Amino acid sequence: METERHQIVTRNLDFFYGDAKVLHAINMNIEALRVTAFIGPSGCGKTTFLRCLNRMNDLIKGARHAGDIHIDGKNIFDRDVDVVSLRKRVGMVFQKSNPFPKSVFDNVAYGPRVNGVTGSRDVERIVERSLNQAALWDEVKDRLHDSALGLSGGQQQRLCIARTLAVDPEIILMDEPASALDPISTAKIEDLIAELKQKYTIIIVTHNMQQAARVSDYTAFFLLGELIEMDETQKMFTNPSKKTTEDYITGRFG
Amino acid sequence: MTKKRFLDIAVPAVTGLCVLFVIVAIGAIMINIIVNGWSQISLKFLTSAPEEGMTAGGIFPAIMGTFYRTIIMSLVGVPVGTLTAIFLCEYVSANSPLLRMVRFAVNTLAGIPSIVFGLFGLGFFVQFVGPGMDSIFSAEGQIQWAQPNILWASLTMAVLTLPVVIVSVEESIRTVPHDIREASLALGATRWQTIWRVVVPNSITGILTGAVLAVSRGAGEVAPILFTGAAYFLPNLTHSLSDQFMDLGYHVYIMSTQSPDVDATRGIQYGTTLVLLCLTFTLNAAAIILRYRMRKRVNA
Amino acid sequence: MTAKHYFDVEYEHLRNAIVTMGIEVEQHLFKAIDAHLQYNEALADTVVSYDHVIDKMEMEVDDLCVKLFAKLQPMAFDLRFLASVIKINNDFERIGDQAVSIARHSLYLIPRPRLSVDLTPMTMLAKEMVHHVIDALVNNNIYFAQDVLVMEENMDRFLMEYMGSIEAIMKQDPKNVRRGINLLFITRCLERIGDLTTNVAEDIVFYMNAKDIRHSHPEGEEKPGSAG
Repeated sequence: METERHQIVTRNLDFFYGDAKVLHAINMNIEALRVTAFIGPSGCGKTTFLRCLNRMNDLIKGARHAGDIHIDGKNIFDRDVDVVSLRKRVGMVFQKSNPFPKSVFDNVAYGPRVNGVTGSRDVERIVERSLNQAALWDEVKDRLHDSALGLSGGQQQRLCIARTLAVDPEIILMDEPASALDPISTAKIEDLIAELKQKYTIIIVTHNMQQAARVSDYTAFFLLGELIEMDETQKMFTNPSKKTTEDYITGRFG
Repeated sequence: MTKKRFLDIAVPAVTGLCVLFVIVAIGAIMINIIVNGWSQISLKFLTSAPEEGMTAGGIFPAIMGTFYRTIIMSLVGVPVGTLTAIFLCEYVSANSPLLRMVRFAVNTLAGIPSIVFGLFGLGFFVQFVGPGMDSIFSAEGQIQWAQPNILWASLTMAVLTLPVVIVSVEESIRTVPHDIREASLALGATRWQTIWRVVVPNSITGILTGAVLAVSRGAGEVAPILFTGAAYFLPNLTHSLSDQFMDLGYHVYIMSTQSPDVDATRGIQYGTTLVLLCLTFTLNAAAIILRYRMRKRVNA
Repeated sequence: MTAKHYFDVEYEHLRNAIVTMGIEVEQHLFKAIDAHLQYNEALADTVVSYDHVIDKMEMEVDDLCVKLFAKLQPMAFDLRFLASVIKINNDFERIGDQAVSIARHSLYLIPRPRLSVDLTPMTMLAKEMVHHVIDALVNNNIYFAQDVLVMEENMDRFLMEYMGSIEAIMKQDPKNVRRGINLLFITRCLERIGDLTTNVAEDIVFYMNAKDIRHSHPEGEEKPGSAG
């Protein structure tokens, strides 16, 4: 187990919804400060796997797992792991932008506030920093107290990213963050990902192969709940080792 | 003419007639009350107590009594109902026996005739909780709580309106989008923080709808307060929770059934009914405006 | 690759275009070589005037490649194939240019008395290499392609040999020098054709196997190992 380089290490991770086994013995090592993309057809388990990493699946009734996920050397399924602080460390950006029906400011301030930051000066500082990191500050600085729902789709998604950054995570999970956006907004999100990987480990689920190729350092291909192949992105898209992967990425699947 | 064509004409006709019937019925009642009651309304009528065996004077104590008991009822019923709904939605799994039991109880509660609530209030609050409180708080031998009063009447009324509140808040909580709950949890919020900061603010319109419905349901009810606190006639206004109170609905009922000279009170009956109508309407309107404001703030 | 996809038709179309280009260039080269060997002035003229046809084909294939890159955003094999075709196309065009050069130098030689140098063996080898590489392209056959890499070694040897013999002829009589230089240019062209053909073979191996074998031919690779 190469825990030096690998921030996230999963060992024989199985996952079940009720009786249905949706992940089969996933073994994966994810490097720190890199972008790792998960690709695969719908229902292949990539999103389920992503949601295992911050134990978001705990919310689903009847869901259970077997195997381990080590983050920074600690098994996140251990009894003494506090899921609330785990989610603080492993932030998540969702497929559909989901700002709270609150002001722009309150959206970003939400995380720090629930995590106990009380001083209004501190909160303001964090909000400004996070919006800057998400390349949104200039666009919203004059309407911080307007409703977040008045922002464009792309701005809303960047707001959600800023909101995640505000709790200072180490790892950011992104579940198809640009799938509902126009190409310009998508490009902005992708630029942002390139920027953020200097400070954060990013894992992104995407249906868009070109996006995976553009933004990621490593790519993992899932099929029917199995990890078929994971390698450097460049290798995956020019010369994958498995025929299934090749068929999928060249569009000859099925 | 085919059967289909016939139905296309007949169905709107029949349904239209039903609507007409409803409009006529409501209109008749409203017009009757307004026409006959309007002449009674005066500053004196609204601000003085009944005189000469209720054949003269005003209805001020009854207005205040109704107002107080509606407020107390809402202050108790809405939070309790809301918290119950939160518990049912957030902490109980969708197919647990507990949830089904509570839901069954709530539905049954909604179908019970209001007089039964009155008897329940008498038996439970006045005769059970009251003496218990007296033995703790009151001086030896003194009866303060073990008698009908505005608190017991309001609480009884609150129990009556609970199902309405619970159902309406529950529905509203269930419409709070799942993704913003997830967003909150993913930011490291606890379950309770998520409920308090995301779910409740987003179902505030539902909670207020519950309040509106509770007020509408409760303000006009008479039966539950018959035995639990309403007084036939009080010379003084209600000052404390352990006082009895006069009530508009009850006042109409008394005048039209118990008065020695029913015909002499007829004008006052109409006036009182009009005031009751206006009061209910005002409380309703206030809640609706509040809800509208909230919705605008939330969705702005 | 169970089902035939719409884009497979497009790749097939591109493959046909590059193969047609290859065959055209091969014919072109054969004519140039024949014109030289037979001292056929008319044929040499045809070759010189035919060059623009090859140029036009090159532009068409390039255009098609760019369009397919834009439209299909290829991955994996498709990506390697498309990138290789662009390079192969360019190499074919330059083989065509070398053929024209051979024809031009022959046009100088044809009216003049022959020197006693016979380029037939070297031209045979050039023909075989080009033919082989086109076979490799048509059949996606890396073994044919690897054969070409071996033949290239012989090409180099031929060049050295002919340089020696032509130099000797030039030394015999200064009047031979102009013709000798023209002959030298032709051998140089043939050697270049060998190089370009080798490039094509390397590209075929790359798109088939995803292995970049340039600058590390099997022989070259083994030498350091066997030396030890």
